[in-house]
Amino acid sequence: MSAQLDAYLAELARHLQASPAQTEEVLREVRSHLECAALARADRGDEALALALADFGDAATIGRGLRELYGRATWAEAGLMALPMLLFGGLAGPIDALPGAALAIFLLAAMLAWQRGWPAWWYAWLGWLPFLLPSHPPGKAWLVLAFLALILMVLPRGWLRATLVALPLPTFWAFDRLVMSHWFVTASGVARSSPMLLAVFSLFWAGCLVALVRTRPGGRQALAALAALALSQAPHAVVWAVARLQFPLPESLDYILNYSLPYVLVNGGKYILFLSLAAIPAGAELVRHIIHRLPGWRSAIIR
Amino acid sequence: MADATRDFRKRSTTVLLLSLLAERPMHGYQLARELERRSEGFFEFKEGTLYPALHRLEQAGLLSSEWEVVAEGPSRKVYRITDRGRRALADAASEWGTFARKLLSIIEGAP
Repeated sequence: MSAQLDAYLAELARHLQASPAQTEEVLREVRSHLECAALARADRGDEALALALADFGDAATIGRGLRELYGRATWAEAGLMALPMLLFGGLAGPIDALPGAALAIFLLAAMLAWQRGWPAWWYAWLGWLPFLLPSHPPGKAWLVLAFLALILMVLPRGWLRATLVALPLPTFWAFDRLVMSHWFVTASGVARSSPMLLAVFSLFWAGCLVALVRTRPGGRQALAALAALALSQAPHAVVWAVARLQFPLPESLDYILNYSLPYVLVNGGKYILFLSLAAIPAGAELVRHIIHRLPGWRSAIIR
Repeated sequence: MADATRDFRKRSTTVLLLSLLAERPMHGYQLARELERRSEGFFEFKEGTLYPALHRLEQAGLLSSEWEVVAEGPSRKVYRITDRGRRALADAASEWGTFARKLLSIIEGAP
């Protein structure tokens, strides 16, 4: 009986992917349940535990349900989440040239996700939909509204899924404004985009995303999400600094007032808006987590 | 139709668990038995699926739990409803009540 129970718990732990302390707590509770259930069927002799296990459900399903609370994404899931970042983000050159192919890949992923009951990795793809639509209104206001609607729609399914949906917005903006806008300066002094640097940036963004989803759930993961969003901006700072070093801006007050300042205010403002939108779900989760951990009377006051 | 019923049952898990725990603290196995007994098998589900729901409610601050050492038999993690859980239950019960009344008034009025 014990070997069968141990095998079941080991399989549950494998699907749970949680910290050792969380795993131990969950397994202790499940063991207790199964022992109670087997005791209640003591009259069935050797069959008792098998019947209890059958009524409890398979370890993979229960483990997946609990993993959403305590576990982290598997490497395969993290890879599936990072894939659209590489396909539609910075490495988008070949796919940009074939919008139909990009949409076809997206629909293929949608079909796979539908078959698997819309798993968490799907939400990392969903956020790219606005950019893959064959036609859309001019300007960027529609993007903000589209993402706001997507975030609000997905938020009831969890802050991480809402963050995954929102991530393409600052990613797109980063590549659109800084990378695609020829901010790279070659050795010959000609400003142009570089496929190699695009690839490096894409991998860096994808790396931030993988690090986020591989962090264990809880307040730490919300903090990791905010850190990943902040860290993903590092390439901008590097590119901007390199560009400024190579081509220092004229320092006249007129130039600053008439060109630099409005440019920084308008584009910086838009970018901060996009980043803030992506940071809302993780920020809200972090605040919720902090309030939840406050002593009772303090959290009651805040609530 | 079977899918709709399954979806309906799934959505009602939260209010069912809160309702049972509003009466008295219980552990997972007890909750599973109570749900089965009171619904006469209507709320049939795999017992293990209760745990993600229980843990989610605990994380949301609607339930609290503590381990109870039993002299004979395995120790058990007992769940109890919190004040916040009681408020959430009152809201949910009111919503479900309205939903059921409106649904019945339409179904019974249908030719």
